[in-house]
Amino acid sequence: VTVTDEQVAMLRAHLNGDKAEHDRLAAEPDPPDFQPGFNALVATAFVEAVNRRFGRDRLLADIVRFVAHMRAEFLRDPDLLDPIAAEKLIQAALGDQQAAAELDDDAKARGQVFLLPALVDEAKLDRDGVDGLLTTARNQTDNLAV
Amino acid sequence: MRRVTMAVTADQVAALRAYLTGDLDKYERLVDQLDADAAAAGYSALLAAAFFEAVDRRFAENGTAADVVKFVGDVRAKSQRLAEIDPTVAERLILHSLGEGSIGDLDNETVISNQFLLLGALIVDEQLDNAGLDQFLAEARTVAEEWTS
Repeated sequence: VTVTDEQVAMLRAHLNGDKAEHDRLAAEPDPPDFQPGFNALVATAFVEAVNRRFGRDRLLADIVRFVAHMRAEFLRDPDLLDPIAAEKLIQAALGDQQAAAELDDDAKARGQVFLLPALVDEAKLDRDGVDGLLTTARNQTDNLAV
Repeated sequence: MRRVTMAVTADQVAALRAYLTGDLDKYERLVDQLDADAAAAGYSALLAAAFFEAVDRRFAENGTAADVVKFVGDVRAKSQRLAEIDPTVAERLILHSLGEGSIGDLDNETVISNQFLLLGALIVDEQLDNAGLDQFLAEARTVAEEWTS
């Protein structure tokens, strides 16, 4: 599976809060976020962003606070994201392979899509920063797919 | 039919006071001495009333759902018993005390254990002195006795 430019554009629009571009891409006959490879791109971007954010400390308390802050500040309804699932996704991204083992693919993708903008915001990434994150994620995804 | 009244006892108040002041040895000793049947109703009512009162003090005036989420996250992050606090349950218990949502699907053990841990955190944040804690417990006792009468 190869990541396409449109898939990167879709995720970029999501992370930059560019609703018009996101809606334009979503309205296409074959929306990029429904194509093979998009979830893998999101997952690698998520792992990259999580590792940048939590680094070596990886304290569970820090993860718990981050998820609570994210649900409180970024979601119109905090119940849209299960906090335990979100914490497990972050732990899994930090290398605990079993942490998110019980989550299905939809739950993982949903959690990652919700959490990524908060990670980008907290890292204070501007558009160039987002592009850098996406370039890294795309390269990693392409390598995964080979 | 005669109505049964389950009064909250001074021993129950003393046990909860010991917990809220962090004197866990005294708390364990006092709880062990409580009459099991009376404690089941009176003490759980006192705990629930204290939780209700503490939530009201903390959130009723200006608290938002987001504040509740952040509070629960902070409590769990600080707690050595993090795994024992289900964030979704904890948030629901607080919101229910504020008149939002239902907790009818939660079993008593889950409600009581989460109220117990959250109450401790709420009272720590209140930074009550001895007189303030006594007043808080007196108010909780009054509410509990109204609920159980």
